[in-house]
Amino acid sequence: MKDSLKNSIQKKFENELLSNEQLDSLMQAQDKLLHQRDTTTKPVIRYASFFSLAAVVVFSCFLLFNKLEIRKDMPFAIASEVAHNHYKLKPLEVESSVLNEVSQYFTKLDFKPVSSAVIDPQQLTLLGARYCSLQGITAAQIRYQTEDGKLVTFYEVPYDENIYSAFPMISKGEEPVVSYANGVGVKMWVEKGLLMAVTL
Amino acid sequence: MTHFDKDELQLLYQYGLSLSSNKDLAYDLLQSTLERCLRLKEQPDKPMAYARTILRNLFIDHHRYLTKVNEEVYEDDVVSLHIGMQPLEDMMIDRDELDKIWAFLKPFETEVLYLWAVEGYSLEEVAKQLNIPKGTALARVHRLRSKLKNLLHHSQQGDTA
Repeated sequence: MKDSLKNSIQKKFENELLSNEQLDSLMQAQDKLLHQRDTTTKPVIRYASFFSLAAVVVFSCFLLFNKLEIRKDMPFAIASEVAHNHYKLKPLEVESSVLNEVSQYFTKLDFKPVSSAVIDPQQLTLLGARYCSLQGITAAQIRYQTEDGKLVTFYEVPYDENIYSAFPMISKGEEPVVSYANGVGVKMWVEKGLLMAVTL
Repeated sequence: MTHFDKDELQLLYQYGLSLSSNKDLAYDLLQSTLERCLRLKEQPDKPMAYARTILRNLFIDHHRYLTKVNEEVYEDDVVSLHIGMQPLEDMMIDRDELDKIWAFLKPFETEVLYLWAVEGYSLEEVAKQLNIPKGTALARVHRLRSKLKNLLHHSQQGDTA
């Protein structure tokens, strides 16, 4: 049946359609293209991003290097802190010659102060204790006195190798490490899960 | 540039089909056109016209068919605008005949027919889309009418195959 040329062409193309699958595929492709276009950064931003990243890497390396250096000098750092506090002689918060009574005072610690095999109680008199810190970690500062009247400052703090680096372990038969700061010798070791430090 | 909706995709596909007479090629041309268009960050005034131009250029790149056509260029005149697409308007044909003769038409001829019949373009709009003077467009339309009549005549005699 004859129809106008225009209508016949229209009818011809009415049947020439993309399938639903093709349409969906093209719609998804468009979304993907738009996303790619919008997330593509301009060269200036790209270079800025590159230099920012480079700066972060350099700074991170600097920090890491310094951290390693700090870790390498951790005994000295702790000795310095211990010596500093030793000279300051801040007032004791609890005074007792009995270690058990002193230990009971430290209710805010995550550990209980204990005696050490390195400290000879026969040669020292316990005076008392106070809260303190080592490298930012809350510690127990215990003060002793020798027979000749010399004050000895003893520290106990939970031991974390990631924070304090490796220290000699008494349980493994290792000898304490000694470092000097401000003219004071400080002996340091790990015992019963605690990092301990005592002035000489 | 924002994306095209499904109706617009169908029209662009049909336009590609009018040029290529090949479904796979029309689909490929449409995909490439979308890639080109969506690279634009700013929206063209007429996104569909822009997309058709891209698609057409891609097709020309694909076939280089225009290089084979030595067509005279006719200047615009008042007569051509007045006549418009009239030479095609009064032609009568049935679907089978159309399908037979369609295969004998050149891409730019099927393109003109598509733009006129499906997109509803006037002669002026066809000329603008094809980037040719209106006089040239009218000359094409006249030649197209002659060719269609000739093909139709042979089709009715059964010797177009």
